[in-house]
This record gives sequence, structure tokens and C-alpha cells, in this order.
Amino acid sequence: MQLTTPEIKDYDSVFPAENWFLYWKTSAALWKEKLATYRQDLPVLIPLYWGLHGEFKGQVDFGDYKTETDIVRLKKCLDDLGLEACFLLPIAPVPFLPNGGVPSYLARQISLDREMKAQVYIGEEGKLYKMYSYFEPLVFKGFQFFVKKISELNGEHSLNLRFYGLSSFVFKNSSLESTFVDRSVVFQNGLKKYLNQVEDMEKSEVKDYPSLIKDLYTDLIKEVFQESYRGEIPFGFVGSCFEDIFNRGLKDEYDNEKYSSHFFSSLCADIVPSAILLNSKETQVGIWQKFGEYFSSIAQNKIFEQDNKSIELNTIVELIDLTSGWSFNNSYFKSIGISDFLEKTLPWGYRISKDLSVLKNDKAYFIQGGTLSRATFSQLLKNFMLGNKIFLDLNGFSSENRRVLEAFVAENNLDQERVNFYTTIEKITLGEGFLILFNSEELIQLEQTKQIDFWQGLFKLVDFNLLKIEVDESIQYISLNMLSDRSDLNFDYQKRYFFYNPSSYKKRVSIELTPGHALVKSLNAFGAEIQTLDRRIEIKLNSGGNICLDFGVFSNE
Amino acid sequence: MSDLYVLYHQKSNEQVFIVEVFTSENIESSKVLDYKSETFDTKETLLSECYHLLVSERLNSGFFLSLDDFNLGLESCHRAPDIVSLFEQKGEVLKISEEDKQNPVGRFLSRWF
Repeated sequence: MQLTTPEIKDYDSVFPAENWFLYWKTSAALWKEKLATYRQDLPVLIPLYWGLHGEFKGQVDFGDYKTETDIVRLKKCLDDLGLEACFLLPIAPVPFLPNGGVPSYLARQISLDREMKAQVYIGEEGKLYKMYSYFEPLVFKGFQFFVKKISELNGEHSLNLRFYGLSSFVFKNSSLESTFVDRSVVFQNGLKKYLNQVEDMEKSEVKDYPSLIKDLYTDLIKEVFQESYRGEIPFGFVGSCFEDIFNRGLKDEYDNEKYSSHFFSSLCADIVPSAILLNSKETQVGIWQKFGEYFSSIAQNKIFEQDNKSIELNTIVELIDLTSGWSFNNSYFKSIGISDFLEKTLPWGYRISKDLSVLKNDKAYFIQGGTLSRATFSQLLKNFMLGNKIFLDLNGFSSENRRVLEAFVAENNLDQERVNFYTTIEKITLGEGFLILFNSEELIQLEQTKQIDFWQGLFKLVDFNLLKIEVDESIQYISLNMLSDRSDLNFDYQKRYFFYNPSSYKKRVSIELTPGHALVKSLNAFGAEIQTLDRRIEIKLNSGGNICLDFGVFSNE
Repeated sequence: MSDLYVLYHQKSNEQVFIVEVFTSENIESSKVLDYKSETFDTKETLLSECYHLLVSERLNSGFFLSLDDFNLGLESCHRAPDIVSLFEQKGEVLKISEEDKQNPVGRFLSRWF
């Protein structure tokens, strides 16, 4: 019973373009009023707070005891307002939910990160959120019970809810890491048991233990929800570093440069960046305000996998990482210098991807041969035959795959060129596609400048038709393909570059117009001076300044 | 004056690894952050190094908390200031002497001359 008139609170007014709706933070009586203020063109992201619905063992509340748990009522509000919603089911601890989302009676073993430190994050109201292990067998049982109950609710009331798996990534020393990672006693005991079990198994049958447990959760929701399950969406939570607890919780500091960099790192790892841990005051400034419109489009593409995208990140190179999906720490890519090279020459124009199934002809792909199984290598060869541009590191490449490659080249009578440049490089061409083979063994030994020189040489073999852009340190920029803008028929398509200076100092951007590019217009300039000199554009950006430039791209023929 | 907070992990071979390091106020010093992920042969070496840091950076006190104590004590923390209290109540305290406080540069240089 409520004796006071409920008020709408500003709790979940995080960066507006994200459209998160945390239903338990608003009285159910005000859901409709609050949701009416949400953007219609974006899906409402509704994380299902398992700990709220399942406070006690063997019980799940959907409005019987607490009105804020009434999912049927919530769905009715969404339908009345014509809003589309994604119901996100946490398949890893969630940094903005108490106990990571796990009900209190199951929150027994605090989750430890790789450094054996308890996982704790600071939320928008300055509260600490501690994560509890998903490796605890009772947590899985409780999750199973909750999933079945919500599926029953969905069927009984014909709600047609669309479920997504919510996987969470946090920043550890500027690398992204899954919150599923745990090194607690519960994890270690489980691992020991598993290792004893797999002793007699064939090597090919042995999965890594965290993947095995993660699959239990994802297989469960796939099996229970069936058609209603639309896939997993990974979110990268900006403001999740350990130092944020002190910087934001004690000193009320907002590190614009760091958050901007994390925002882009998420995008590069194909993870949807989220500002939900930051408070609404913080998201009214800096990157969130500047990149708002772009963010919403990119997030929407990611969520809906839309075919009719109006905009997409202009990714030139994808680094395929087929190792486990727990972190994007880049150590291999760093060791051979490719990530340093790309950060210098194509910042944010590259992405780390974990998927080899869909490759596109307008990008180049980089793959570590040692991570390829027989099946994934066959898939790679198919992609090469379809005209893809592929760099393949033969370090650790299996002898079986090597034989397959030799047979493939001989059978198809393919053109081969060989050059020596720091190491032996072999280029195999087929139509528009190519396969560049090299061995990183010698490359790892080289100093960084020589590694970058190597990659510069190697990338000259690919004509990406890029603008030459030089920026001062701290400048952040993204490049977007404007897919729907066909207004100017003089161009094949348009690219939009968005530059932002998150630092406290004035910074410079220099762009050389390479053949096939023309400046169409500049827009959204704030604190920016622009000067065009023949084929060069010079920009000075004040602190917090930004500018958008549209370039038309046309073929040189 | 600002305080120094160090979260460390003592490995089985006596070595001590700094997991996290921060100060209570904003100090423009990369020196403090440089200590993150550093490993020391013993805990005494860590304390001695941090004492120099306290003196050179004009910090007031240092609080040293082991990872095990942090993980246990975190259960009772609900907001950021609770973590600071955890360091202050359960951690080891290192205070700089009055002499070093008054003449940090002189004392520091006297180690070399």
C-alpha cells in the first residue's frame, strides 16, 4: 500500500539515446507516464532483475506481492504506447544490479577477477554493486527456475516478449573483460572436478571450463524461450574501472578522456557501449552529448541487426580473435604490433571480432593461424574464394591445415608472389581477393618501430582508398558510412568523419584529400576552426570542441 | 593533505604485488599510478618504497590492505567511503615522521649526499 503520491524520479535517465528502462526504480503506477517520455524510434532496453522477482527460494513474483514486478502490466504499458522492447536476461553478473542481479539468498560467493580481487562497481547513485559467482551450482538452479517461470508467464498471457541474453563487459586496465570471469573458490572447485572428469576424454571433446558453464546458461534460455529468444547482446559499461569507485564515489570526478576512449574501445570490440553506471549529470556532457545520435543508430543496428541501416561504422580492418570470448585484451595483436599500427593509422577504423562466418569484401581480415581448426580454416578458404582480403599469420598453424592450404593452391593453380620484408611474405591472389601469408615468429622479436614499418609495408598491398588523417594525441574520431544518403549522385557514397577533442587543450586535425575524395560539407561544428588549403584541410579544436565532415567518395576511373 | 591507499596481494613466495593504488585527493602525480602492478620482493620493501613516495609526494599517511582482507571486508561496504574506512580500519598504517614532513626535500636528498 502506498500512502504518498508516487513521484517520477530521474534515476534511470541515463544517456537518453540508450533507452534503458529500470522498471523497479519507478512505481508501477507511473510506468506509463515515464515510458511516454522515451524515444519511439529506439527499442526500450528492459533488463530483467532476477533478484527482485525471486527473493525467496522456490518463489517468483510477477506482481503478486510487489506491483513493480508485474511484467504483464509493464508489457501492456509498452503496447499502449506503441513501444518496442527488448527484455534482457542477464547471462553474466550485471554491474548495475545489486548482487549482479542474483537474488540475495543465492549471493554466497563473491566473484573474483583474474587478479583475485572481488568484482565491485559503482553505480549512478554512488552505490557499490558486488558481483556474485555464476559458477555456483545453486545459482544455475535458481536461474533455471526463474527462466522457466518467465517463459510460462509469456505463454499464459500471450505477451510475445522478445528475450535477449545480456552479457556484461567491464574495463580492467583499459581492456574489456566479461563479468562472467571468476576465480573464486567455487570456480576453482568446479574446475578441479571438471579436470578430473576430462582426464579420460579425447582432446577434441574437451571444452574450456568457463565456456562450458556459460553454454549451460545460454543453452538453457535458447531451449526454454525457443523462438522468443533473439540472441545475446554484449554491453560494455563505461565507468566500471576500479579507480572509478574513488574518482566518482569520493571525488566526484568525471574523466571525459577516459570515458571517451572506453566508448570507442567498446565499439571496436563490437560491444554496445553503455553509460548506465554514470549519473545523468555526467551523461549530459562530453562524449554522450556529442555522439548521441551516432550512438543510438549504432546500438540499434547492433540490437536489431537491421538490413535497412542508414549508418554504420566504417570498419576497414577486422582482427579475428577466435580464442575464448572472455576478454579483449589484445595481447597477441599487441605483441606483433598490428594493434599499435592500426591505432596510429586507422584509430577506430578497426574492430576485434570473434566471428569468422560473415566476411565482407570491402574490409581486410587478420587471423592468427594457430587458432584455426580444420573446419574454421575451410570456412576461411571459402571466404577467400568469395573475394575477401585476408592476412594469415602462420605462426602456430597446424601441419594439417598447412597441407590443406598447399593442396588448395595447387588444385586451383593460383598466382603466388613471394617477397622478403622482415620476414617471408607470400601473396596468393584470386580475383579481387587475396591471401597474405606471413609468420609472426620473427616479427615478435622486432622493436615497435620496425613492427609498424612492417605493417605499413604490408597494408600498402591493399588499396583501402582512405583519407590521410593526422590528429594530435587525445583527439577521438569515428568514421561512418552514410548508407542511405544518395542525394548527391556525383558520388558513389558518402563517409562522415566526426572529430572530438575531450582534452582540456586545443588540438589539431589535418586531413589530406586523397584521390577519389571530395569534401561535401561540414556540420555540427562547435569550438572548431576549419581551413581548407588545396587538397588539405586543417582543423583546430578547442577543449570539448567537435566537428563533423562529410566526404563524397567516387571511383577514380 | 592527501592519503595513499594500497591494495596488495602477497604471493606464496613472499613477493608482494600491488593490485590497486590511489590517493584520497587529486594529486597530479603519475608517480603514484606508476606503482600499480609493481611487484616487490617482500612486504618490507613495499612499505619502504611507499614511505619514500609519501615523503616525495607530500602525502600524509599510507594505508596498506591485503587482497584477502579487502575481499572479506567488502561484504560490509555499500558506498565508496566504506571502502576507504575498510583500508583505514583493517589496513596497516604508515605515517611519515614530523622531521620528514617538515623537510621532505632535504631528507630525500640526504639519502644521496
